[in-house]
Amino acid sequence: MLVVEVANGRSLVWGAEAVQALRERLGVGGRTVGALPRGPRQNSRLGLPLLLLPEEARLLAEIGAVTLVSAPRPDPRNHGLALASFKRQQEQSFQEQSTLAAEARETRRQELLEKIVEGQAAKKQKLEQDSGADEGQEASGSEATQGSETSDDGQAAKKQKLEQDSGADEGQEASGSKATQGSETSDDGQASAEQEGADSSSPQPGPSNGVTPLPRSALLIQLATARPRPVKAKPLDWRVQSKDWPHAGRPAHELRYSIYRDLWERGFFLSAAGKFGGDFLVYPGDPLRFHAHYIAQCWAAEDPIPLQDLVSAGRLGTSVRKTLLLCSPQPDGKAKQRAVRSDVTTRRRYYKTAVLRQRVSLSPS
Amino acid sequence: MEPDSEPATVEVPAGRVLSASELRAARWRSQKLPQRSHGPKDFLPDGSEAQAERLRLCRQELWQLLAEERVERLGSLVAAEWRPEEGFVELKSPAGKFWQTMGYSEQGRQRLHPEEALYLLECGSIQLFYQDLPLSIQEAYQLLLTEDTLNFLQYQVFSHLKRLGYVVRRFQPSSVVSPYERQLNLDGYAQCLEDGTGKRKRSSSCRSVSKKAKALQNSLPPMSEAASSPPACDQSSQYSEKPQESSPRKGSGLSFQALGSSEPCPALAREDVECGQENEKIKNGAKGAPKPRWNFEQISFPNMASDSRHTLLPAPAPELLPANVIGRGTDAESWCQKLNQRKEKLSRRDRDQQAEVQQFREDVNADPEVQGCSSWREYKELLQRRQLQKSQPRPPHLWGQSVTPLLNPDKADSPAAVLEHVSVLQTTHLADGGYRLLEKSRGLEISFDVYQADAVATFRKNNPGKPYVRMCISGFDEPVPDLCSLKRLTYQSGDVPLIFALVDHGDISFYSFRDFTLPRDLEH
Repeated sequence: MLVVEVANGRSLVWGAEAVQALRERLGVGGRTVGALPRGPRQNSRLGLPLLLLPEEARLLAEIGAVTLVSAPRPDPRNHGLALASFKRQQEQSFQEQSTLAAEARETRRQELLEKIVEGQAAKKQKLEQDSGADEGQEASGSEATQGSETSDDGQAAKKQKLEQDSGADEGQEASGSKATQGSETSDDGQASAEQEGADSSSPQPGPSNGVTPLPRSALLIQLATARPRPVKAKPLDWRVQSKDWPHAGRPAHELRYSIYRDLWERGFFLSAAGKFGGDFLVYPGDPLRFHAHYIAQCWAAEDPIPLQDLVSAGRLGTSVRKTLLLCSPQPDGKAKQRAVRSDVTTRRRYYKTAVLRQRVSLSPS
Repeated sequence: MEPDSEPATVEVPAGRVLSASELRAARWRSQKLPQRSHGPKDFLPDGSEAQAERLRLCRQELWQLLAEERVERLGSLVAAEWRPEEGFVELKSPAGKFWQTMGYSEQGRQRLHPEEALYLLECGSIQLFYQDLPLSIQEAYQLLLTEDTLNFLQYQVFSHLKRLGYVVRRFQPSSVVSPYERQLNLDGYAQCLEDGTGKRKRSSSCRSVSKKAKALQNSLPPMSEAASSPPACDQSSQYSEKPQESSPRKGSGLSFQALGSSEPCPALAREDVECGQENEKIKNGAKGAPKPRWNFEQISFPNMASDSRHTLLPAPAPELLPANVIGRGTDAESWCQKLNQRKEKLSRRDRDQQAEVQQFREDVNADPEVQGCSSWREYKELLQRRQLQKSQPRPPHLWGQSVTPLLNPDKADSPAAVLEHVSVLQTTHLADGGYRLLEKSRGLEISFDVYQADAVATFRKNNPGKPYVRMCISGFDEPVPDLCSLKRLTYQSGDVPLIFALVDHGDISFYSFRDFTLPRDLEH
């Protein structure tokens, strides 16, 4: 059973699985309004939370797919427990991450060991051929690094690759915060970097075989999207007006809801249409793959429609290639829709109102 | 607080908590954003496999994107703490790159507004704590967006603009410079003083403006009291022979507030010292409470021009001065002598231009009849006589009827005047009359100042300059603002354009009103 929290008339869904279930199984889309973790500084794709229209939330509650609850306030009584468990969990995560990091370093080193040996052999051969030039470097390099065989210039590239690959491991964790070591190990392929890398990250099998503790600053933290601990909340009755649900009983809301429900039952996908001068945008399928066909405007049954509004809405619909749909509930509870279409030709413009079976009362304002 | 009629019974499941291996694996996530709908959209669902497959692919990507959690290194996060009773977020560790455009310093501590903190939390730059427990984004939304701080719609618009790259700050009414002040280059002056604390600025603009400021400071009388001008008149009548002319208010409208001592600075050598002194005063004044808008029709200034020199200025009333400042009366005569009274040497082109313009102007003093008048009364009598003479030969067949001509021939000196008589519509600007509406009951308010994205490199929080636009935020279900609110808001905004951001369930659209003047005849 899905739970949706409501606060101040706004329903937000914070779980990705819930969003998936609502969209795939129930045809209720909502709109994402938060920053996307993968790209928080762009506007084309947004992330959680998902904002539901009040009509959507009420529909889901009515059909029993979702329980609406008032957003729970943090309980001071549980605070101590929560804090203790958080600290425990943090420490545990830290330990696990250190272990995993060490294991990863070890496996990586093992993998590249053969290549290192190969490269070293080849280099020695090459050195025997031309002498003198890199003797000094080789000597200092071999002195500088103890235990690790990657002392030569020729292996500097391999070492670089090693450092870079596990750079996310070592470069971050070993060099920690930027202030501590000025040079990233991946930038500096020289003996000094190798020495630093050797000292701090200890890939050698000889001197250290235990777990080198991860610097605190290299610990990975999750900034949780949804509340990371379960909590109890009060159920919300959408039939009753309250601070968290002010829509109950309001005629505008009831009108929109009846139209929404009717269109949803016919299989359409609906979303908000304020930008288009209407109440809902009506899609034949999922908005990801289909364009909207109609702009639905909700009118109460006895409300006269000003002719100017009709004309302006019709023209707007034409310019965005959608048909205007006038909807109003009938006394028997069902909703009735009428389409107003305006056809545009390249040379002349003329307006054609679809023939209506029922007379719609038009009064110029 | 309503009684708990229903106990809290529904269990809200917890959000996803990543394990250590998942955290590490998160570093290798792709950073690319997939396309929303792969390829052009279809028209109608036709139940085909291909359509279903494409839809499945799009959906799968969407779920994958939404399910990702934010993973950051502890070293790159700035720790911050939410203080609900004070309504701000205090930084516990030094701020990062975002400090250039966001946040403020107070009492030596770095602070953020709730909306800035929430935005940075969503970006993954800070870790927000409340009572030592880190807040998830859901909890942060709940705690930081309350009625006192900021509502949800305002936060949506704020984050939308920040993601686009703009620099968005809360609206500061004190930063609004009226067009008049801008015309006087007052904002440039205040900035100039702020830049050169105690140092003498070599730029000529500062020099000349500072001279002007001193002159006006000297002439700053007790303000806005109609009752005080008679006493001033009485005093002045003892010293000057000519009666005081009714105040020319030329350029004296500097709203320096009660800046204290009207100490003269006769020696130019002391100018730099004065500049430094005024520095602090101006700075304190400029950064203080919002400047009240003075009604210059009621303030009278003494005329210190050469035609009727009135240079003996009384001491300002002590209740108008700050406690530690003594004001005294002064004789600005010596200072006035230092004014440059030499005749301006114009270039040849300027002289020609002046002569051209002069041709078409009639000098009243060149009229011998006017020269014959020895007092105002005689001059007025002359004018009346002339008026009678002009109006006497009026053809009765035109003027005796019930329908008379619209204009007198002598009154119609330009097509513009004629048009004014005929015009039915009058040009009005949205900000006109806004001054009187400031005290009216509040409804819609200006929320944010928005600065352009390309100014980020040179943006200074202490001196942000003129904003690009100002934002008012509302929802779609609220009524359209009425003319009263529009006028008030436009006046409040000064000369910065105002944009209304309307939020409709996550969708934001921007609207603005534009002042438009109908073209008219320019020959005036």
